[in-house]
Amino acid sequence: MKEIVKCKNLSKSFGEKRVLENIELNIQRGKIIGLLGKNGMGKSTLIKLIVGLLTPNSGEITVDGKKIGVESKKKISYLPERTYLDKTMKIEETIEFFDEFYDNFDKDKAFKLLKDLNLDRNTRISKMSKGMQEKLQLILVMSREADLYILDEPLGGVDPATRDYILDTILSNFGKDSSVLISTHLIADIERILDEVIFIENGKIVLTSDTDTLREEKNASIDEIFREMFKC
Amino acid sequence: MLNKLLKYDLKYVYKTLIVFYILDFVFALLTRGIRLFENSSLMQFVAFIMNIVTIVSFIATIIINIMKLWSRFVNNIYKDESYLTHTLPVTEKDIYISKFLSSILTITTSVIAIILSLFIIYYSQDFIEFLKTSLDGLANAYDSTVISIIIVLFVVFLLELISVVVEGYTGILLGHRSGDHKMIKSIVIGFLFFMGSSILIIAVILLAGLFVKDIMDLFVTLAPPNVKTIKNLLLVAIVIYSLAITFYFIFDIHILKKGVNVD
Repeated sequence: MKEIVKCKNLSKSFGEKRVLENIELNIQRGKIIGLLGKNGMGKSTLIKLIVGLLTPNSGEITVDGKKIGVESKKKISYLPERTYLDKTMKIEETIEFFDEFYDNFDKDKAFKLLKDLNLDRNTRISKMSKGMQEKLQLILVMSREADLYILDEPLGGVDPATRDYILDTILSNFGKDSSVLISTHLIADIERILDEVIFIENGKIVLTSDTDTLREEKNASIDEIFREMFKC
Repeated sequence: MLNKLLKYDLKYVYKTLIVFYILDFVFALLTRGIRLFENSSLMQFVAFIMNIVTIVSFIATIIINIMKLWSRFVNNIYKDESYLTHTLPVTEKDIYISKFLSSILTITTSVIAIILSLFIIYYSQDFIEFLKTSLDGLANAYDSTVISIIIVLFVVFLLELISVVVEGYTGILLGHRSGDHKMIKSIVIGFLFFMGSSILIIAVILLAGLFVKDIMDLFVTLAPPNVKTIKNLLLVAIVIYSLAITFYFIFDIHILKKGVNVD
């Protein structure tokens, strides 16, 4: 199966601090992959490198065979862990914005998801709570027909009911040739949807595996394996 | 994609600026109205206050314009909104050009709004006559007319404001390449570039003074300069500002193309 993302010998430092070290990673099409690790282990840094928010010190990243640039950004739909929308805009304006910039954005799907969440399209972003802004961002991200969805901590700071909504939205909105890379430390909530897992610790990938195989091998849930591996 | 970026950059700045343009025009109209009744000391005092308020409004328009441009730049390139900006399918070059063009357009409209407001305050038959005479003069003797000086002054003022904005952009880009105290470093670097440009202009004028006596007289005598000398000086300023802006433009794009590292 063709890889959507390939990282070769990827390293990233901030000053003297080495955050990622010689990362070798292949992400296949049609999978939901969990990027798992404790806080500060390099998950977000790896994601930021893939989406072009950080520049690597060494190594190479390709998305569908192309280096990070305009073409790779067309293929990736990214949900960051912070709210990134222009607060002066209304919801409808953000949808128009995404529609103008992304050829693969489905405006009708976005409005349908808005309706599901009872969000009024005329609401100004500045008037919305952080949680509502995060939901709006998820709608915008999942309304694109992208090759790769990258979701950085999509469950952080939301209630259990919203977590279920987010997971269902992810499951029902990505195509069969698309992949989803989800970074989180809330493994129990997300385990049911994962096809593969990548464990990251101190800037290094310490394990990559198919979730079913790993569960059978260790005779434990991914959450339990994670807790065992990373216990303090 | 550049036109789309520019549309949103302009929309962001004009949302605020339009309020200041309206204020400028309202204050200008009020000042004009009050000037019609300056037949008592109280009304003269009110007119004086209105003049000050109008001038403050003009200055605020320019300051707010520049601050909005800088805040848009830093938010889009390095703060929360950068998570969207840098994941849009656009080149870093287009992102910068959009900011650059929105700076030129908004500064130009702000200066025009101020000139129109001044026109509202001072418009009279005598003023029109003065303009007409000057324009006739321009046609007859291009080198020594008041109107040509006004045009050149307008261009210099515009270029100076644009260079201040672009120096700020360079400061932000270089300041954010360091590990800590990014905003403080951005301000310091931007200020140093501003000082550098100003010193460069004075140095070039002094250098020109070595060859042109009229220019050197500006520095060594108290005699008022003639119109031609002022115009030459302003033309030198136009050349230097244009070169400086071009340099910052190329340098900034080069920095952005090397890649960003957002917080």
